[in-house]
Amino acid sequence: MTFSQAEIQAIVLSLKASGISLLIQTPFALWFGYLVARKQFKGKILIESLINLPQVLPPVVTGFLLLLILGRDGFLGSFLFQALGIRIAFSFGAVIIASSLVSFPIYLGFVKSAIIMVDAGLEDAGRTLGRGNLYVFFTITFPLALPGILNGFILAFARNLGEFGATITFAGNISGLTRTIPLAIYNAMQTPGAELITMRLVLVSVLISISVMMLSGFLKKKMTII
Amino acid sequence: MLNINIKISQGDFTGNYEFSAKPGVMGIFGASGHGKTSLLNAIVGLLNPECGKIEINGKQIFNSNKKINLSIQKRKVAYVFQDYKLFPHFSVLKNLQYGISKKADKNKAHEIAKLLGIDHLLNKSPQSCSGGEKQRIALGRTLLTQPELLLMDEPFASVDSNLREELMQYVKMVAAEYQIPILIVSHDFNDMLKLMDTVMYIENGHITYCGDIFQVLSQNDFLSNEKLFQQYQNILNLEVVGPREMADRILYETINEPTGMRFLIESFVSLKVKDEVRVVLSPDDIVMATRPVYEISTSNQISGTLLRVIESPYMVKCVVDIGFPVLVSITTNAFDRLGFGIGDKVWLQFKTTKINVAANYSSKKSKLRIA
Repeated sequence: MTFSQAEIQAIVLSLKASGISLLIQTPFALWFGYLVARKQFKGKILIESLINLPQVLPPVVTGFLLLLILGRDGFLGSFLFQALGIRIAFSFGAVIIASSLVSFPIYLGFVKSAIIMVDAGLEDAGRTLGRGNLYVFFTITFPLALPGILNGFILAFARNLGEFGATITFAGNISGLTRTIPLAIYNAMQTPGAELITMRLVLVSVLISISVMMLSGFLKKKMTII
Repeated sequence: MLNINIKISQGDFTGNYEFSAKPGVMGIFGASGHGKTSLLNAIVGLLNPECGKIEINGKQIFNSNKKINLSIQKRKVAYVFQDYKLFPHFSVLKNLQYGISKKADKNKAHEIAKLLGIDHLLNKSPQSCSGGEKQRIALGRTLLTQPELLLMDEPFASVDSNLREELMQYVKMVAAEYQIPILIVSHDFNDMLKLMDTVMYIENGHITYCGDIFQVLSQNDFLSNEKLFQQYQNILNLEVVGPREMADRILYETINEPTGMRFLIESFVSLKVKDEVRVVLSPDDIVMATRPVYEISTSNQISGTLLRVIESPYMVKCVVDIGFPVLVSITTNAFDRLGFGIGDKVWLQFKTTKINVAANYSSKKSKLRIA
C-alpha cells in the first residue's frame, strides 16, 4: 500500500495541526480547568457555556461564526489584515483555530474532572508546608490529575483529527495547506475512480483512532495513583 | 504565644473565639459541627474570619482593621490534618522533604524520621504505611518547616490505643523541644488528660470554658460543664525520686514539684531517677476518711480540705485541696454516714496500683529539634 504525495500531505497536515492545536490549548486547559474546578467566580456558568458551545453547535455554524469574526471582512479579521497584513481565514492557522475551538471543550472537561478528583486537602497540606500555589499545582495537583489530563489530551487530539465542518467552512479545502484527512476523504469521495484513495485514508483514520483509544486506555490503567 | 480574637461566619454558622495559648498542649473539645475545625482552619488561613485579629509571637498574621491577612505559606503554622493528607505519589522521604526548600536542609528529613521511628519507611509509599506511621510522617513533615504553632485535627482518632499512647509521647516531646503552642482538636477528653496542659470547650461557636488543666477543679465554668466534668480524672505530673524494691515488684518514689508532695507509684515500664511522668487517678479510686488510718494497706495517705461538693443521685463528687485540687467520688450513703462538710479536714488514700502512669515524658527525650 503506497500513499500519493497528496495523501501524505493530508496525513502530515492533520497530525501537525492537531499537535500544534493541543500544544496551544494545554496551558489554557490547565489554567482554566483549575479555575473552574476549584474556584467560584461571577460569570462562571456563562463562560463555561460559551466554551462548550461548539460541542452543541453544528460545526458548520462554528466555522461560519469564525468567518464572521476572523474572515477578511470580519470585524477582527479585517483589523488584523489592514493593520498587520495577517490573513487568518483559509490558512493553516485557520485549521488550528477551527479544530481547537471544537476540541477545547472536550479537553477542558477532562482536565476539570481530573482536577476535581484530586483531594483539595492535599493542596491545602502543600500550602501549609510553606509552598506557593504554582509549586503545589505542579507537584501535587498536576501529577495526580495527569491520567485524566492525558486522557483529555488524547481524546481532544482524536477530535481534532476528525474535525470537518468548521474546518471546511473557515479554512477551506486547499490541498497541502488546509486539506486534512477528513477533507481529503471527502474530496476523494467526490472524485470518480478515487475509491482506493478513500479506502486508504479511511483505513489510516481508523488505525489512528484505534491507536489513540488504546493509548488512552493503557495510560488510564498505568498512571492511576489514587 | 498565640493570641486570637476573631469572628467566623460560614453560612448559618457564626463563631466567636477569644483566647491565648502559651507553649504547651491545648485540647479543644466540643460536639461535631460546633466550630472546632473552623477555628483551626481560620488560624492556618484556609478560612477567612469575618473580622478580628490573630497574632503569633507578637506578629499579626490576620487583622481585619489593618487589612492584614498573611497567606497560608507565610503564617508558619503547621497543620496535621485528620486524615493526614500525605501525598500518595511521593515516597515517605519525599513527603517529609516537601516543605524544605533549601537543598542543604534535605538531610534533616532523615534525622527527624529516625527520631520519630519511621526511618525504615523512607523509600516506601505512604499508602503502604499503618495509621500510626502515617500520623508520624504527617507530624514529621510539619515539624521540618520549623513552625511557630502546631495544629492537629483529631490526630488520635484512627489509631489503636497502644499507638495513641506512643503518639501522645511524641506530641509531648514536640511541645517540650519546640516550645510552641500545640492546639489539638479531639473528642476524647479522657485520653487527652494524659497530654494536655490547657483545655478548651467550644459550644455553638463559642468558647464556654478555657483554662489550665491543673486548675479546672477550682473553676465554676468547668464544674458546670457536664460533658467535661463527668469525664474528668485527676492528673498529676510527678518526678521519679528513686525506685523502692519490694519482694515481687518495684515501686517508685515520686515527687510533685509544685507542692513537694511525695507519692509511691507502680509502673509497668521501667522508670529512671529524674524521669517526668504524668499519672492519672480516677476519682472512684480514691478513698476519703475523716481521720488518718494507719492500720491500712494503702501507701499514699494525704490530708486536705474539702472545698466543694457536687451532688448527683447516687454519688457525691468532692473537690479536696491537698495543695492542689483533687476530685474524689464517693457514694451519697458514705458521704451522709461520715458527715463530711465543706471546710472539713479529710484524709485521702490512694493505692499505688491505682495510680496509672499515663505518659513518661522522659523516655523519648531527645534532640528532636533539628537546628
